Amino acid sequence: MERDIVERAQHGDREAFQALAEELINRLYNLAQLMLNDRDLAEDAVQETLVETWRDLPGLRDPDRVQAWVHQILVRAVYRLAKRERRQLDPRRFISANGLTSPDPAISVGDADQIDRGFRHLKPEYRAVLVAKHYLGLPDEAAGIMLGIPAGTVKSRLNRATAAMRAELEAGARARDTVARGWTR
Amino acid sequence: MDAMTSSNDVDLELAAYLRARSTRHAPEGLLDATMVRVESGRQRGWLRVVPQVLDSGSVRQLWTVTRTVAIAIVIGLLSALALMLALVVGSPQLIPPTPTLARPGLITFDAAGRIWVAERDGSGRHPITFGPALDSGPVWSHDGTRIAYVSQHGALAPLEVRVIDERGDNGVTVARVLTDPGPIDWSPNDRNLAFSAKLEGSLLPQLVLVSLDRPEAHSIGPADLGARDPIWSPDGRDIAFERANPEDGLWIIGVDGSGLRRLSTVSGSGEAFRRPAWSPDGRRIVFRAGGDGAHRIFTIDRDGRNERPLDSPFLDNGSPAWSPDGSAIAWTGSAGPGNPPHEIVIVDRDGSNARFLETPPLLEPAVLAWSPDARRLLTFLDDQHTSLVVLDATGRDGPIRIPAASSFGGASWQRLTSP
Repeated sequence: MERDIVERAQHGDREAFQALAEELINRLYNLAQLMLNDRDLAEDAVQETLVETWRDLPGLRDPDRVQAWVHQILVRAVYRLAKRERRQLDPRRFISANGLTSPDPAISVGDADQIDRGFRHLKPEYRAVLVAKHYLGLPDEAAGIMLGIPAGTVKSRLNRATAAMRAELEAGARARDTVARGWTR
Repeated sequence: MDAMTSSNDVDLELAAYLRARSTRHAPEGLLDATMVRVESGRQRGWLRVVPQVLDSGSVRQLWTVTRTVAIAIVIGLLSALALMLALVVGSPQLIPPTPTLARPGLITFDAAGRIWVAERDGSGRHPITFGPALDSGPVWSHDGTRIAYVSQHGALAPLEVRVIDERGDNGVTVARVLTDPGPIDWSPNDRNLAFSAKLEGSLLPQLVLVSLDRPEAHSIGPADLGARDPIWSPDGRDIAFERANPEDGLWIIGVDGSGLRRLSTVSGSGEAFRRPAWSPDGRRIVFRAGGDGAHRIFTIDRDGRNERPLDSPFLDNGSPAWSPDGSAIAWTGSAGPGNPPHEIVIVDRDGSNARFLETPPLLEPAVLAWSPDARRLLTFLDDQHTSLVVLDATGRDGPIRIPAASSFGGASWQRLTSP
């Protein structure tokens, strides 16, 4: 990302900001939809992030760190929108795992559906740390910067998120077993 | 996915799930809609005041003084750090204490391009590396705190050697741009790594050493060494290895590159001389030699004297391993070419008192690793799905299988030295 573009945008150049937004938008949207599991909310999160980025850009001290800074703004927007999501829960808007074309042989569509359900039930803070660690592969320090928490908290939050995910998956498996037993009777 | 599997594999499955759900492009029109909102919004002007304030004379003077003090403190700290580093690096290699048994900790292994850890009964199996890189060949440090492994970011990318802790955190790349790196061996003081690899421009694998204090790989010995499977002597002074040029043999070299000489006199081909092992007291080396499909196990003194074959009823013998207390040697036995090993031979250090451990068909060549308490052995099964297997060295308990699909065959056992 060119420092010159960031600096021009900091000084109010809207064309420069548009160029910056073009560079950022695909990654921001991807992270938002991964964390929110909702395309409409992800679009809202990206818009709120970029508007806030434009508004606060003059205060950014190190233009070379713009991407990490924007990620922090995105995470905060995701948390806000996730709370809204819980208030206006509409399951039809969720991204279904049934439509996934998984490039990874380690995961089947059936598993994806089960993981999808478990992931959707997690707190937004847990989803964010799982995306930071398991999708972006960030070390604790970088994940902490992105999520606005100390590196030590990343570890403990990741442990809790993984434990919560396991609990969701095991609950799902038990429910399926119960249904299966019912069918075979 | 059953409940147990989901518990063990949840990290891996989550990573795969997130990759499957990722998208490269934001929806069309999102940028335009965002820019409309940006056009109507204003930037926060007060934030621009800060640089102007800093330009005023008194503040600038204060800033200059503060900066000077900060630079002086940083220089002082760096000097102290450099002095400490020089003392540590310049000190002679520590000679390890006489090896003793230790508690076994986690097993590490590679599967599906990731590094995993598991308890010795197979429970708690989970990956500790993630992302698109292919990771393989994990080896625990002697103090059981770190794991070294080979990593490759894409099929055609050069390989790297990395070091992580048991959680997969605090990763550091200690060597880059490698071709065909072989198994990694930690120095006895856990400050250096040895492995074979083709460096840039070399046709034959060289002996590569890298210090974790100053990660910069360098080779020792001549460029045409053709070395494989280096193993550090327990006193840290020498490295034994297989040399394939001009002919196969067991060789030794000082860690400073001096004293290169051939130890073995017997000939060998195929997998001969692969993965030799030092006795824990550093006096002898166990290795295999002989023709392909008809290998025998030999021991030899550090100075090349007393080269002796160990008796075995099997036609082909491989993967010799000295027990951590030095009292026994184990290796795999098979009925010859085309037959996977199906038995493990265990003898006393002098080759006497042979006992046999019947096993499912084993992978060959493979790791055969003693547990740090010398009670169990770890190796790979030659089954369809590739499994690690933990064997009770006494034969009392049955084998424990640990799934390790698509493994490159790297596995190692953590040594717990703390009480």
